[in-house]
Amino acid sequence: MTIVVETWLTILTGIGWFVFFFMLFVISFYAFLLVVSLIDIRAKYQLDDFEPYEEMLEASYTKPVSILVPAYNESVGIRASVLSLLSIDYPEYEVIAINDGSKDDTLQVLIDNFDLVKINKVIRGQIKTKQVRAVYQSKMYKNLIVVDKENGGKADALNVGINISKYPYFCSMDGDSVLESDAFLKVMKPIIESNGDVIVSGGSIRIANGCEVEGGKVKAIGLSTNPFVIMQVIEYLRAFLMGRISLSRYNLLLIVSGAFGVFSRQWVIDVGGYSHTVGEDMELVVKLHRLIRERKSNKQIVYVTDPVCWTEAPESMKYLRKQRSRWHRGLFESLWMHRKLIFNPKYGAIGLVSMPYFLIVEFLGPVVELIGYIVMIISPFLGGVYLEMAVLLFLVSMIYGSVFSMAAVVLEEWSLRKFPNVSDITRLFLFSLTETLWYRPLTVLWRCEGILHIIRKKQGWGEMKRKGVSK
Amino acid sequence: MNELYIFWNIFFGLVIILTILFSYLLIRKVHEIRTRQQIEEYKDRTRGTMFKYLYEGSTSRLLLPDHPLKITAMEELLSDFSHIIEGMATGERIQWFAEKFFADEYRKILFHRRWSIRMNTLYLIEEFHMESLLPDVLQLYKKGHVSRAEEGQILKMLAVFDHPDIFHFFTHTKYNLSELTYRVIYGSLSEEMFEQFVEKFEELPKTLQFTLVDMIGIKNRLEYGSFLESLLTSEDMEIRIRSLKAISQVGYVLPTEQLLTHLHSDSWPERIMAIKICGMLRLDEYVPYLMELMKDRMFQVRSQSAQAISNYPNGAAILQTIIDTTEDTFARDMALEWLERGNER
Repeated sequence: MTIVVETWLTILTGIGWFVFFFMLFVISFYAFLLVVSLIDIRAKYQLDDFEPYEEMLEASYTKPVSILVPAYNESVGIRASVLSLLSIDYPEYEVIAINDGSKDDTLQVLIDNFDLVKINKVIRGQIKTKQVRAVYQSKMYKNLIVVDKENGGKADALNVGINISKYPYFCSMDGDSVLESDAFLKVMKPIIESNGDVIVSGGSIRIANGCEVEGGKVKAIGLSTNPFVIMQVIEYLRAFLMGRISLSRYNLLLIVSGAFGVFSRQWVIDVGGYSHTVGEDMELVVKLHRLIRERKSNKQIVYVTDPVCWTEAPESMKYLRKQRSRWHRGLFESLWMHRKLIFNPKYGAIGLVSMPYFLIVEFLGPVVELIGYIVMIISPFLGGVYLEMAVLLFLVSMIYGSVFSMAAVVLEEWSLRKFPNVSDITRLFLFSLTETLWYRPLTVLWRCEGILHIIRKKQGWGEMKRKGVSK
Repeated sequence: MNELYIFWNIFFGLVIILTILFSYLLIRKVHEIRTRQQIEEYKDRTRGTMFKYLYEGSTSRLLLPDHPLKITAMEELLSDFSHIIEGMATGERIQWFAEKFFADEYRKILFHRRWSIRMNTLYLIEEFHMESLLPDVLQLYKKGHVSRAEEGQILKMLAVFDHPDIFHFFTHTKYNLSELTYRVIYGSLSEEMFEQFVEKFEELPKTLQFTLVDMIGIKNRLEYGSFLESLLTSEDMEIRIRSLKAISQVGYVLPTEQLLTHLHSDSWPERIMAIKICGMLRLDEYVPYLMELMKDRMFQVRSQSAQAISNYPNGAAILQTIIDTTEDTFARDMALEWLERGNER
């Protein structure tokens, strides 16, 4: 009997140590990212942000952009988002809204509101897509094009948009987000400044819930009172300000948010456009990195802190859970389709750092954390030293999470976008302390749920394999 | 137990770090809100007086920046006004005020360790046209470790202030500046300086040549038309393409012989630019060539040809002829699209 108990304890201690060292590794990686970001943002602290963009407002100095807005059953929000895009500060651009065979009256709303007429547009089929039914042009805004096509999913809609777009760069936008008016100038700057060496430039995403949004513009920044939203605000600050700045610096960036990124049209066509996956935005960036390495090119994929796209975050547990589980599946698909890259020295830092990071920390991390939580829950029943150990571990993980969160808030304060009140900072602080108690375990559970979904839908794998090859 | 002891230490260490972070954030926020308020107060109190000074030249003790925050307030006021009101006298008064009250401070912070402070100072020196600081700016530039953005800004200032050595600095940059920066600098040059650059074209590095040609087009300098024409014999395809583009922008009439060689060039961007010139000049003799180019194997060439034809006064009729007569479906589709687009105008 005692042997059984002792074996148990040994196993438990073993698992405990494994979880501990895993977390230690993750924390040191994050700490490294944080330091890089701190240095980078501090250098730009209080830079007068208007001056550098004054000149860019002149058309002849910039490069024109096509903005793609895929829409599926969005008859409620589509008018406002197209309107807000038609009023951005940028010298030359076109807006292409793609109705992906909506079942509601999205197309009719667009036709009525923007005085659309059917045109005979010649489309270059550079990427294979579902059938395009008709192309419309607005009589009110010459730079607004609307495409009506057979339903084929978001990736397919974006690919149609790429085929139709006439400019060398395109931007993918989610239908329900709001851009700051100078966001385009700022996100295009690295592309223009690099003479085309930058082929993808991604901006930041912030959460609009709690802010005052009026006529497609953010009028005043505020912090929501919904706990789920506050936690997501903290999460986004950490992800964008800590993670992406440093990854971008070493050309390791694997995620350019689907909600706001500018891509070189030619490069995206060369990789065959978006793939039909859950996380088509990440998959595209991985493909581009892959092509860069395979062509031995020096092209870059960068992230810019300053331009911000405000997006609405889910406020209820139900939708947040769906979102997280979907994100995790998307992450898996990208990793699986490009598994050849993982630990492959031929792909340089992308193969040796980025891909393993996403596999081990981002994808498998939640599983390890879940085990950690289980161990923590069991240990008290074993009594003695284990109880104290568990409590301590818990406290440490609680505090370290808050340290990172507060560091991210410092980064945000050093940049130009700030929360207006002292009370906002206090609330962010207090909520970050509670993260380990409820929010973190919940997201870990949801992400593990995503893994379960992958395992259960076994046939889905075969399908994905086929797509990976036909790329 | 040893491990427990280590954990306790880690825990307390983290608590201390967290407390410091949080207090820093709080103190900073409070301080920031307060200084912002004070600056706004200063600005509100002196706005009228500053306006009077800029318009009439009447000075007042109220405008004396005797407090660090007041300097910031004055800077912001001047900057706001310089964007709104135009005129020589006002510009001179802004410059006088800035040189009198800000110059000493700027001389110091121009060499600050933090990049953003140096950068902001450079912007302000240019904005207030503080020529007396030029030697200091040059010293910063020559000292060696300026960033790419600083170099671009400094060169632009030299161009704005019409510095005699600009040609030398411009052709010997420390970094590979972007085409955007080069264009901005060209755009800030005086007429005489610009002409000097055109005269010494052969001495310029490639990127400077490209952007100079672009700038002639952008600024619509028809007087350089024959210069652009002379570049068309260049071996460098990029120069030829950019010159053709600039020619189409300034509206220079190119001899038909010359134009034909480019319409039939092996490089499709060159064909496109030549087609652009046809669309701008709209001479009848180009029509047969444009109709031929509607069957080009490159999509962009077909599209550009159709667009050029639709620019003609009788463009619709020509496109209709193509639709009725051609057996080339690509040409017909493209003609259809542009026939429609022409109707919208």
